[in-house]
Amino acid sequence: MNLLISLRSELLKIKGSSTWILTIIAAAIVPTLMIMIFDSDSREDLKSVSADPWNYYFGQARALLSMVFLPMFIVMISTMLPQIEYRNNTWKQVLTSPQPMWNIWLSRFMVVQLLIIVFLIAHSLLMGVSGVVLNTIHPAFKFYDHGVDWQKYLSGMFNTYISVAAISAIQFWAGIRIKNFILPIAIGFTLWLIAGFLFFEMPPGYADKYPFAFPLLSSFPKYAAVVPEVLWTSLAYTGLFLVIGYVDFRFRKVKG
Amino acid sequence: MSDNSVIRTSGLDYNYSKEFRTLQDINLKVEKGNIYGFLGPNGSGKTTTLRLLLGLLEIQKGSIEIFGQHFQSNRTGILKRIGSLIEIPSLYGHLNAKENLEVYRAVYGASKSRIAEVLRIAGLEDTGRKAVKSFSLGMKQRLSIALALLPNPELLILDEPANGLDPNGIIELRAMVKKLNREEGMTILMSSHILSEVEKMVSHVGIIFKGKMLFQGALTELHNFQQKQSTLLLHTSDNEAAMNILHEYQPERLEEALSLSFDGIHQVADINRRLHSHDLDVYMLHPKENDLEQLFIDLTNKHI
Repeated sequence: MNLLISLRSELLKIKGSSTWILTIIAAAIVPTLMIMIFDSDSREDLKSVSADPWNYYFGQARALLSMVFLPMFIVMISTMLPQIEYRNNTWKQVLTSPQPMWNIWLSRFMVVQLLIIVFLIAHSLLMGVSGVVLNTIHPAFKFYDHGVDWQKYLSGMFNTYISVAAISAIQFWAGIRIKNFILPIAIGFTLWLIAGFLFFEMPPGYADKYPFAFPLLSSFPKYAAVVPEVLWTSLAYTGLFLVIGYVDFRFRKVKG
Repeated sequence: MSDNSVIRTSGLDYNYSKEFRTLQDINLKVEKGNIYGFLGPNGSGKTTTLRLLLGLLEIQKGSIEIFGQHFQSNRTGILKRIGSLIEIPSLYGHLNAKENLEVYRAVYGASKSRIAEVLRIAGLEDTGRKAVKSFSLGMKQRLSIALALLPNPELLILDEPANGLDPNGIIELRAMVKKLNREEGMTILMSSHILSEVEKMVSHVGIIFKGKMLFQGALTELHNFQQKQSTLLLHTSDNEAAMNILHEYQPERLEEALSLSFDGIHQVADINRRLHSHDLDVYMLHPKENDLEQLFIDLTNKHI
């Protein structure tokens, strides 16, 4: 059975569901907040913004995104997707369809990844719109006088995406494993809080082993040196949790 | 294993907990072309058996062969040839009927025209863009049956398919099951807790109670068994004397009458003759043939 057929099946399930709307709304939060923050602090930020407005503005947004909103989006979306099956009592139909178990598992994970990518693209587009809006409110920011360092931006977004891959694998497993809607969210939120503690309160050397702290490390320039290692570690964790989760999914005694 | 066996289980045991054995030594045999009614009261182990057949539960003891193959050795190959409906409908509420079928169409390798075909079979061709969440339970059940038919399966497994259907829906279901069996050659395994619901369509019957198979065979065998189980109610001028005269029938004393088993209506005549020849007046001679429903109740009650 072709993996693409399983992926098609998974995508059809979220057609017209609130998943897409939630993704766009979540992607709009940081751009909206950025307008509010820069609007209220316009005088203080004027100097730093107007020197290199787009790159400064996008950099600040990326930090906010990586610290809070992207991990929270992943926690939400990884929980919501399996809930489509739990809520509709459709697991048994999925598991009695002629798809290899690995295809069922992987195609669902691919949908989570697709939604994260859609989230990041929507966030980027809306950040552009928010910059235009901010420039209309405060022409002194001089957005139109400067360009975007696309290479820096795209590599930053790529790093952000890879840094959250491990979180997505952990939350994906939790979302499928636990029928209750609240528990995976609570687990994700707690693990995220611990990341904040490790990152801000503990000496260096802890956070770079803890998946939920990876997006923090990847978004602060002072940790640039450890970013490549963090990204590789994130990919390794992703593979590990994807396999552990699959083994749990495949050999669960009661399915559906 | 005979070539005709579509499903064969051997010594199937299953426990959800150590204290309670849900299934004990289930040896199910469904042959090609059968419409097999799998009967038992609620909680007797029907759904557990069907879930084991479809791989939704891991086998703990015993074995399952479907189409002559062990399930785990060719899971997807076997599932491709099976359509199933287990318990309550499994449908995506936010999608319409066609979209629900489209989710699985390519998975089963079914053509686009098959969607219209199964919707027509299920009588749901006019539901348009209406989301399934606003369907009645009967409509959901029919859509679930349409989904089970999507792969044009060789084996159709339906768990309590009449649930939620109104009397007309049940009649239509009967007609549909018979037609699929007759025209498409589909083997059908159908569970129910109501014998009368399925006795008009099944060719074979398995009765399960408290996790044990009480009976398995052709419906005609069940009818023979039923006749053997028929009872005669008798009231004479001297019931005590009648008990002695008819001792070989092992009569039981009721309040005002006697009850005894008979095997065929000719024995009723014999009983009457004997009583007459001993000068007993016969006030009541009431052959009470068990209908299947009564037999089902008797069989299950006997094992309580």
